[in-house]
Amino acid sequence: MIETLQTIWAFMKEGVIISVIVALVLPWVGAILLVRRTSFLGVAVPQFSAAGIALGLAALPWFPALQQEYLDHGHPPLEYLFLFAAGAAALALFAFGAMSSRRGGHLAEGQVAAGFALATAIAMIALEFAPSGANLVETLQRGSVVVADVHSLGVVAVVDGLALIALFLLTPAILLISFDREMAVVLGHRPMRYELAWNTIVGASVGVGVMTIGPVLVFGLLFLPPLVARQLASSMRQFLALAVLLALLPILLAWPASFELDLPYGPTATLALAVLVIPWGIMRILRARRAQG
Amino acid sequence: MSEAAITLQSAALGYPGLRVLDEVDLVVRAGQVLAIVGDNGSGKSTLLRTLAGILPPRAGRRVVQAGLRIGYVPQQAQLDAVFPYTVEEVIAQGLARAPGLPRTQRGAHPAVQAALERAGLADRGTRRFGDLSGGQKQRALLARATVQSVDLLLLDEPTAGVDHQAEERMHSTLAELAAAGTGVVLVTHHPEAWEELADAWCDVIDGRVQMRESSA
Repeated sequence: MIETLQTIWAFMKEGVIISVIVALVLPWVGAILLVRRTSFLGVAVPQFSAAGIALGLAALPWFPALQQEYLDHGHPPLEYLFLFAAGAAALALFAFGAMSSRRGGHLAEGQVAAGFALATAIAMIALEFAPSGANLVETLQRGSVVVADVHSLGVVAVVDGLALIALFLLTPAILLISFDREMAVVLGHRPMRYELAWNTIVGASVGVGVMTIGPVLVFGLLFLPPLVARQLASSMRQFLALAVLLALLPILLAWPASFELDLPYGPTATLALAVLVIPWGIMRILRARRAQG
Repeated sequence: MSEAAITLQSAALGYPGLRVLDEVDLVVRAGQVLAIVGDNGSGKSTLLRTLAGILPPRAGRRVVQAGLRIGYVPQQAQLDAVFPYTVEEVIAQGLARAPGLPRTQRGAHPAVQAALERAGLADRGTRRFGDLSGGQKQRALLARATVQSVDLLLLDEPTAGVDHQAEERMHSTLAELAAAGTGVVLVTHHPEAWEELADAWCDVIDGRVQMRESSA
């Protein structure tokens, strides 16, 4: 076991660190999506990020220097991919936000489902124009965290570091405008500013997550820990903290598991989240109910 | 006569593409207790939201006295219980006045503890807000609105969905606030319940508002 851990650290430490960083941010984001009753957006947005990446790959021939870097390293510069991934995610969020605030807002879930289908179709067609990118996208879909090197670690650290700072500063206001928008306005806040900040945080964190750990694990981190934390937490602060804490252990344990079983990391970590977090949560809930009599 | 706290001048009220009230001329005076009455869908809540600054007038003007501090109590039923806020955390939201970001959502703030005690919820501070009864929720929301001192309190159907005991408690709390000089504007379906407290009435009928002084 020690040998396995040493091997993982020697060859994949950037991937391990990236997985921990995204596990700090995404469950926090997912917790807020959950209480805002917009979890369905969390399913569609990573798909838009994937479509953005595919479009970025299709556009590579227009940027010969970037294409050369792709040929040399197996992937284009991550800043380039991130622009497409986060840009597509943020655009989708703004579009869904605009649609839901107008007439027909009651059709929001259907609009998001249609958007999901559209994003998937765009990703597939874009990859037809960028056949060399198909491997990269497939790798991301499998969640193999192969684009994890020192450079990508730097990109993730900067983007998610900024997202964490923004979450620390803005979470109370974002929650207030979500819980009671009218009260927030009376107190002098401008909800649109916070909505703008929120869409940027979600777009950036989901975008960087999709292009490093892949959409499957992004879904898992966004929803599994917050769902269990919501049942266990007795306050909002505890809910957010618990959502993040519940994600960290499975994310770390999945590394030796995927290595030993020779399985892609993303789905392994997602299953680890489900296997470890859900039964533990059910146990705690049952114990609490028994204690209540 | 006391000075105007909020004035609506030739105002049209409503939402994008939907005018609810027209030609509204209304003065809410400092320290006044004003009850807004009318049928379902007549525009009472639209009027209250415009007075609170939540909805901008579609036409005309809303003039607010300089430095006026407004407290607002929404209908408790419109707040989603999926948010796992404690009662303390909900009351602490009232401290989050702009400019600047909400300072805290922690319940340990002395003003929050004082508001909990005034509301008779000292033993409920760490309970989930969503688990409270309707009357307790309404008291918590009133505590949130008054956790900082306010000059004018706006309430949207403060006794909707609460039992008789909670209704009486709300009446006496608002009477205490009014006696201390806080202005109160409330929307109600039950004018008879507020006859003793209200000193002015605003009838919302057929897209217009009509003011009248209390006969009590």
